[in-house]
Amino acid sequence: MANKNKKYIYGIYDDADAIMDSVHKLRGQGVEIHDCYTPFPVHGLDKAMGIKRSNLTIGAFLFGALGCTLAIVFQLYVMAADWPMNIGGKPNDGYYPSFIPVTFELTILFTAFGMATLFFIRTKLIHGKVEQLVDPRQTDDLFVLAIEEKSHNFDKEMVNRTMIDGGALEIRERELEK
Amino acid sequence: MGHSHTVHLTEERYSMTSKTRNILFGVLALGLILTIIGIFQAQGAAHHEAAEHSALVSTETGVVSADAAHHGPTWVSRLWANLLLNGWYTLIIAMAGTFFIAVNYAANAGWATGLKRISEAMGHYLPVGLVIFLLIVFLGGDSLYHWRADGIMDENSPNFDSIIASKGWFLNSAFYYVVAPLLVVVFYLFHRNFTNMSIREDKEGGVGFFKRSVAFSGAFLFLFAFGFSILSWEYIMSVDPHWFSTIYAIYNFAISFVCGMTVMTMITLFLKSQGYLSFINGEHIHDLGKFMFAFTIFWTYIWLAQYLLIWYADMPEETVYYYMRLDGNEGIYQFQFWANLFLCFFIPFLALMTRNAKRNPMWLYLVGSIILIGHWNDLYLMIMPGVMQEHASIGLLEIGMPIFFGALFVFIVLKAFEKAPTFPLKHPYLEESVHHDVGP
Repeated sequence: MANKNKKYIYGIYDDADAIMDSVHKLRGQGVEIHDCYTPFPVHGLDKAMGIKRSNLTIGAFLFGALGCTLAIVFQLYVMAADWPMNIGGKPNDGYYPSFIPVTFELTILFTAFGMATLFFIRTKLIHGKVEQLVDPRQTDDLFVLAIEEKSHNFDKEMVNRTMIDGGALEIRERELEK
Repeated sequence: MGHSHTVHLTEERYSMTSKTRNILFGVLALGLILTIIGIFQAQGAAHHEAAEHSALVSTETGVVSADAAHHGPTWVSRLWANLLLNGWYTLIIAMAGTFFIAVNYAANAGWATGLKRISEAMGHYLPVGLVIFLLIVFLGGDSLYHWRADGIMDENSPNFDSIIASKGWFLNSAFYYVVAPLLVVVFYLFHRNFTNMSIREDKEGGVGFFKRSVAFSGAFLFLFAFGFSILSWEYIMSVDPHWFSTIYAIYNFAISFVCGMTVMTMITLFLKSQGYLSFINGEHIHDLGKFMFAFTIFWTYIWLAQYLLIWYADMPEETVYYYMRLDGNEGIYQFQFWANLFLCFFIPFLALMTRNAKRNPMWLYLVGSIILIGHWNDLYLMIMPGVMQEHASIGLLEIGMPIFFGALFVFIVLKAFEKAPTFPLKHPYLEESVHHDVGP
């Protein structure tokens, strides 16, 4: 699987503004940023990195629509076709207001669980996954800027220089299993 | 901070261009002309109907006798009902302005600080709205409210109605003429207090005004919850005096807030298109759009909560409300009743769901108009079946009057907006508002 591994170059910073600076400069030179690891959310970093908007919301809508449809079909099947029940003399031969709360709740349930599951799948946050920290301190007080070596416009010399000039404490190279 | 690009804001004042003023006056005049033609049309229709029924409907005097309910409503009732509808509609939108100020102070929210002067201007419609509303209350009450009929609470009168009489402790002149209007006055005094503190803050600075505003906001929100409920019961729910709903006040509040946010969004977009409030960007517009979207859902939740429980319990004294809006009253409200759900829920819900929709000015204008028309229809369905029964219709009167009130509202709000700088320059949260960012 060695050929599937990717080489990354990491700049380690101790200041949020410094990492922002480097991101701006590298992007200005056309370098693609693979990712940034920060101990806290850095305001505006996602925009600076040029991260595209997630399509998670479309997934959420589809899960909601699925839940809504299933709720309607299931209730109609149970109450009108399979086993009509007389509950307080309410009609059950079609879609009635008494079906709305279940439809509403199942729509929300499917949206929430579907979206959470999709999020975990897309981010590969699966239970038992071993963490691949560049530096353990990135969860404490350090900021890591990762760039893939094979990325577009990559020039090791230039990237190293920009990171050092931008205030990186150290630069590391590492291969990661994809 | 290496990257906090400082925005240098200077005091900015709005002045209405003559073009805006002319357009507003034009629309105002159009609304007025349509209303006047509509009044004649309504008179004609009433005469026609009277002739048809060959009954002695008291149209010739133009004054409805106290027992008008026996003869059926006249064009005068129709006029008052329309005034009540539009008067109440604009009044609660103005209240949403004050509410928005207070709720942002109470919640310690900073993002809307740049928009604060717009909500302040909206609240300045309150005195005008109150005067119009008082005219309706003092002059039109007998045409509008069945419970104000003579002898209805008098056991010895042939008019006696024990259900209405049992509500006499609330449905009486003291509440009707004094308490409820005073509540609007109190709301306005709070509003004046907020705006005066804000203007003084512009001059003097510091956080003292902010802290005081937070304290006043708590008091206002508490009072507003009770006061708004009393107002909606006294003036709107009582057009159907036999019926009551415990969720009615929050239902009206939902209308107030969703329409208030819609109007605020539209005014913000208008002011931006005129070149003011340059630091208000897509992020703020997005959040306003979220309010429109979220409170559309809130309104539906409340609407359904009222409908579902009444449908489920199926008690005659409650279902009569929906019967009169569906199969009853010769079924004339049925179409509007179902259309209401589309105008107030399905269309805005689907149209405002995506992020791009909430950031697109033209789309917000379009969907906002649908929301405003929808909630006008919503209020129509609250008031007309109670006042007009099966005699209601939508003519030029119903079309012209909202145009008139809308132009009046916008004119007064923009005039009030002229009187202060367009944003509170020394508000402690202005900086936060300028750098507001809702993320990807």
